[in-house]
Amino acid sequence: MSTISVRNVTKKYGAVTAIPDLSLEVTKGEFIVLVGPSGCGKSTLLRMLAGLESITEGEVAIDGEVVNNMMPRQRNIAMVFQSYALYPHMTVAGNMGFSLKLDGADKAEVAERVNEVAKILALDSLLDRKPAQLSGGQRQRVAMGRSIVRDPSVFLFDEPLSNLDAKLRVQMRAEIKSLHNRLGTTIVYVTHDQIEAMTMADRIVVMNAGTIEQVGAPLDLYDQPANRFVAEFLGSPSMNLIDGTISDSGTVVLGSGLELPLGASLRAGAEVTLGIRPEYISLSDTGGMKVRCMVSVIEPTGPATILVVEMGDEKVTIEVTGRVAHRVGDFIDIWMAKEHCHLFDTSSGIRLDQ
Amino acid sequence: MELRKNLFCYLMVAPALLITLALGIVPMVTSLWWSFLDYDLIQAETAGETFVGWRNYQVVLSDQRFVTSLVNTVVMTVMVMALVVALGLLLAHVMNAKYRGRAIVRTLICAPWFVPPVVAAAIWVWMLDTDRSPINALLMDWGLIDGNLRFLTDTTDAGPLSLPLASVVAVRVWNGLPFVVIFLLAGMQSISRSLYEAASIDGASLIGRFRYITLPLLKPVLGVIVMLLLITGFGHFEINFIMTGGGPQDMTNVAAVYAYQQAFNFFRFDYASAASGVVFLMTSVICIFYIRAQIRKDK
Repeated sequence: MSTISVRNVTKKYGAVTAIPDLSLEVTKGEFIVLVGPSGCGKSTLLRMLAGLESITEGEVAIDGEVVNNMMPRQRNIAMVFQSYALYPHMTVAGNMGFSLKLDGADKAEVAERVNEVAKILALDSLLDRKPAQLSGGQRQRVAMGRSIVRDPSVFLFDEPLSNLDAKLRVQMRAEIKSLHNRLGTTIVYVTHDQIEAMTMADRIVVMNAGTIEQVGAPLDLYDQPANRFVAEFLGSPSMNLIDGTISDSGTVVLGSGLELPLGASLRAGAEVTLGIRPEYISLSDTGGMKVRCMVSVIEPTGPATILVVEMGDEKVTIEVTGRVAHRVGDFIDIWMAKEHCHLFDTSSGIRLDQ
Repeated sequence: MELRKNLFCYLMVAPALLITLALGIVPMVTSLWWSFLDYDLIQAETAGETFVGWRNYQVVLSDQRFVTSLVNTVVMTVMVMALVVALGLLLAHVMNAKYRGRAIVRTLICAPWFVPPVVAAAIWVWMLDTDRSPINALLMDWGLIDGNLRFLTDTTDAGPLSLPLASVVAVRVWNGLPFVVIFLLAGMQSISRSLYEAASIDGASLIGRFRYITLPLLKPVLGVIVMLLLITGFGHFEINFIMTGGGPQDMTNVAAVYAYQQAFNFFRFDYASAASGVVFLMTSVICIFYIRAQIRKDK
């Protein structure tokens, strides 16, 4: 278990700045997930932690020791790659024991440790196979086994589940999480999948364009997004965002002329974006703000139904449990839970306190 | 439909097959046939060509000059193969690395490829001329030698090894290197970068990464290269012939040059064919291994 400190780190590729100035503290044994869209710099940051990319400016310290100039092997980290990067010419046992072999451990010791880890990951019957003879999920487990064998102080995961099918991904998500509970090793995990981030992380770091948008526990980020980007990025279906202005009476007037009793303390005339998650809009009277809309899309998912309704010119997504009797084209009333409405400054995207 | 598709495929390969048949198979079979005849060009008009069985083989194999040329063939081929592979691996790394001026280095490494072996041999004969060699001048300037080295004419030997043999080997390496470098470079570029990254995280040093990743993953390519070098090396003719004509004192004589001499200096087409037959046998053994490896790979 180790701490990681990223202090004012900058990464430049020639004239292009991938990461302008980033600081982050990871505590001992924490499972931290870096999440963001493609090209947001999350993998670059992970590769800088691993020592696979140089750091242009700033410092990275593991357990208080600055590792900027250390080779990857000196950092006592292990990494699971998106492509798994298994050595195709070695058996599963060879792959898993490779780092120990390089460390000069004797054969019996390597075999013992490999067997031990293979048991944890249910790989013991596959030890003599080559990676080409394994399924995607098995390869994924070998890649994890290879990193566990070394007993590193930090695990780095670079989108490890993105090459797996949806079902296997759910299963591996649970396996990785239980592995973390069992080993307690610090994990930095990169993904673009917000569900992975929400389900696995102790803390989520939402990144965008090389900067951190918000850091916090998954549900804190979900319930209190610091800005429009985080609000939109986390959650599926994503949060409804509707532009409007604050009226003289302190209500929010949406583009369609609809007036909602929100934002009383804000300056009149301010341009705001109203945000509400699909699950906080109800089709029955739950005491929220009532609005009349027309149903334009109905998507039953089984346990829930997703509706897209037209509210003036705006399209709003609603998620309700169970099934609905409505049809496309029906006019219905919806109720928006006031306490779950968020207001963001339209131009800066920053969250506004009402 | 299937038949038409197959017909089209055969039509496409037919020209290549015909050319191979006319320029490769027919001369080869003819030569093999001649190796069993009494075929002295000077007496062929009057005495004709009679079948003599293995006699020509017995004659050439008991000729000390042929045995020497066979030893030289093997020694030179193995030396060229070992040096080309070792230098090829090194230069392929140099070509693969990223640095300023890489394009120039790549062009320089490939340059010998643009020179046909015959021209290369002629240039190097001049470069290695005892009195005019710029290499001698350079070594002299640096004070490494007192007198001119006789690169192609020194008759001092150590077993089958000698300075002329080394000189011819060097030129054959120089000329054959680019092909091997390109081959290896292609092989190296097909190795995923993430494997090297995984290996560095696993604790492999630069040499460790070469030993445990590059080398094993290049093994199939290296196998093909080694076999191709052996096959072409056993039958090699032009550089040896032009640079030294097999001399001095047969020190650089190889089987192909011996066969040429028998045929065109002494007009003994039968002995020449028998000598070629021996080379054919040697390359066939390698070919069998090569084809077997290919079949195994396809499976």
